[in-house]
Amino acid sequence: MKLGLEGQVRLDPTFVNHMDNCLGCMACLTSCPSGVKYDKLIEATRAQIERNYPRPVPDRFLRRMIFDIFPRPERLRLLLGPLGMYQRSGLQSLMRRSGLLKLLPASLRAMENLTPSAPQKNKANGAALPERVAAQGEPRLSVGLLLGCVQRVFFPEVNAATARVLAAEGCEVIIPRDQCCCGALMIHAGEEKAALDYARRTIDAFERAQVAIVVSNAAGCGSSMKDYGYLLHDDPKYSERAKAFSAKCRDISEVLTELEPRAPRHPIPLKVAYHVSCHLQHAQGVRTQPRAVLGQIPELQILEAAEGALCCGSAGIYNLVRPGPAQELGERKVRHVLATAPDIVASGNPGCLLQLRSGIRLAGSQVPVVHMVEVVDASIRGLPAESLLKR
Amino acid sequence: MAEPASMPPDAPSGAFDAHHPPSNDLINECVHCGFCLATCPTYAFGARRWIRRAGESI
Repeated sequence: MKLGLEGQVRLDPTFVNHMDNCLGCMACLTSCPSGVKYDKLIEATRAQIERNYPRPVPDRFLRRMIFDIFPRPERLRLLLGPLGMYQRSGLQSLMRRSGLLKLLPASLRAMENLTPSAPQKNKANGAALPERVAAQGEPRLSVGLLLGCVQRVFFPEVNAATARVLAAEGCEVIIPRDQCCCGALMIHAGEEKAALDYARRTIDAFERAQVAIVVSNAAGCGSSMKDYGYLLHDDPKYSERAKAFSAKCRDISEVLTELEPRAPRHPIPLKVAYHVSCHLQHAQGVRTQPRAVLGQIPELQILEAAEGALCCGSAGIYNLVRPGPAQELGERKVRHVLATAPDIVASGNPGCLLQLRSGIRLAGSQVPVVHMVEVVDASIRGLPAESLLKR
Repeated sequence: MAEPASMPPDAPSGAFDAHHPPSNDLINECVHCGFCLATCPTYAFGARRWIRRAGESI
């Protein structure tokens, strides 16, 4: 980057390749003793690349497809029908067994491997969540809930669990109908203009909702929303509002640690391996809270996998645009996680959930992967431990 | 060495255009201690193998 500023290198394939190799996991932020804000540097550099570097046509096509589909839940949802048919008709297992998948380009193969089972219609759907969920007992806090694009389409049960847990803890949960994508995928990939448009619309939606704090259960989304103040700092109309908005953003694990638990936790006699996603531990500096929240559950044993600071390889769109390295990291992560012999694996970001589920399946294991808040939800509702094992 | 701080704000900086190039001040915070390399997955496991040939795409 320095050589770029000095004009000694150009935005050529070598330079772009180095920047593309970065997962954006922000492990370097945690380890840097000088406090170099690498997140700001890589985001600025990636935006420069996307504006000024002509990518090869297949790259451009893949990226366009990702950014046209993933931030649009209504488009992503359209894929669920065909996806469900593909999975339930047996075509998927046939494709996977026959090796036909190997004929696909690596990125499409990665996508096929990562696709979760299409949620059944009868499952609690994120879209079906009401606009307002009343607090149980005396209300303590009004909370806006960000549904997330991938989260609400592929993991509606995570959003439903989040709303239930917050309500049980005395939060009035507001779920603005007009909320859009938060722009996280685009911010991390250098698509600055689209990202900032989404950021402004997200701020608008939650300002209208007049909530005290905004909660996210997706670490990637949360980290971007906490950054809006910086991203929009030179937008005269939004700079102050963005700062105020960012100050209100919390990860679900932060809210649950800040609030003195009110709802009784029922025992869950399971061993859980908890994977902290990079955008929680490195980007947001939220490290201890998720374990503290899980630690409130009686009889739940929390396991520590080796190399906990290491990325699982999901990294936004990285596992789609750089499938080889992403899979290598995924295999390594899964090896460490399974070595702790867990009953379930929990994490706090939809990208990690997809990556871990796919990696665990490819490793021939059937250990279920859930969002941390689903474990809390099961504990508060007194569900049997088996309910978590059937995922 | 060019000092971007002294440049007019809308001048392009080297390889970058004028709209928010990576900040030289942030870059200069780095003391080259290399701690980041020890935790970087790209460096730790794949720096050489993951580098794609120039122009190679998906």
